[in-house]
Amino acid sequence: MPTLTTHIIPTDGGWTIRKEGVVRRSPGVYSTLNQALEVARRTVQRSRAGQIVVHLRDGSMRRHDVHGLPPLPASPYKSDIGTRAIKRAVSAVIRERLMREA
Amino acid sequence: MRQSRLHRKDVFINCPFDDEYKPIFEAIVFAVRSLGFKARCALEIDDSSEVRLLKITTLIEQCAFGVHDLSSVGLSVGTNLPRFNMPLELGLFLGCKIFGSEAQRSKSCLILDSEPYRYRTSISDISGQDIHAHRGEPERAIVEVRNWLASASGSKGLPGGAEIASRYVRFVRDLPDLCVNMKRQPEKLTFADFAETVDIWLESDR
Repeated sequence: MPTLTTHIIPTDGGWTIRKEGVVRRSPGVYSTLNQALEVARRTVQRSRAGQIVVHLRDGSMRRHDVHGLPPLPASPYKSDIGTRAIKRAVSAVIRERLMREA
Repeated sequence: MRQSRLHRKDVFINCPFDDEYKPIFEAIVFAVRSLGFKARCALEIDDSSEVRLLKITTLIEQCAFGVHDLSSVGLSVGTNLPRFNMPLELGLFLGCKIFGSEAQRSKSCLILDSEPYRYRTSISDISGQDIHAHRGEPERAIVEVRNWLASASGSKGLPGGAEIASRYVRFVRDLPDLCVNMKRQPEKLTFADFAETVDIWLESDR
């Protein structure tokens, strides 16, 4: 089942767009993050609900254009692993999975 | 007597915490978080100097909702005795609802068991409550929790049970790699480790 999240992932030559459950034969590579964001926005904004998650080269991730999704309150849990370390781990695993699936 | 405020987004999870039951417990936490509610349980209590029962009653008092799993009513292999904690905490929750303030009377709970109708022989006084069987399957537990919580809270626009269950399958597949990246062993994750990881993963998989 495709999810409502569109991911922008860094590659050697720039940035690529991936979506869980959607396999594209030749996904485009954009030289700048802004170009990739612009393309992703065109698709996401057409849908009833969605969001873009950008996986930055430093391992962090940012959410953009969140709309039509139920609000997710900030996590009330504080693990001693650290929020930043968990975010990096989640980003790394999702990136790897999506690139493997493509 | 001190009174705690009732938290309308808090769900008390009363279930076994042993390894055998862990997949169901984690699935319930995942479902509760996917629906935007806060999962709370006795694992929050790490201060041994505090009287455990007092802390549990405070948790129960604060939670507007409760999921009680009576799967462990069978005899333990080592002791040949049943586990009484779950029925005790269910009794405290129901007592709070029956004898508490007006706010407390609005509490709602779901009672789960691994087998349907087993409660009729072991704890027949709860007949007439909302009791559902998950048959030891995490995905089934997720659907039961989702359907009950959506109805009990009156919330609209929540994801469906099948959608949460398919997301949970993906999360479980990712968890070993997440643990490698976080330099933790999956079996050593604390409740806070697990719950915060679920929250951050859910943010990026919607």
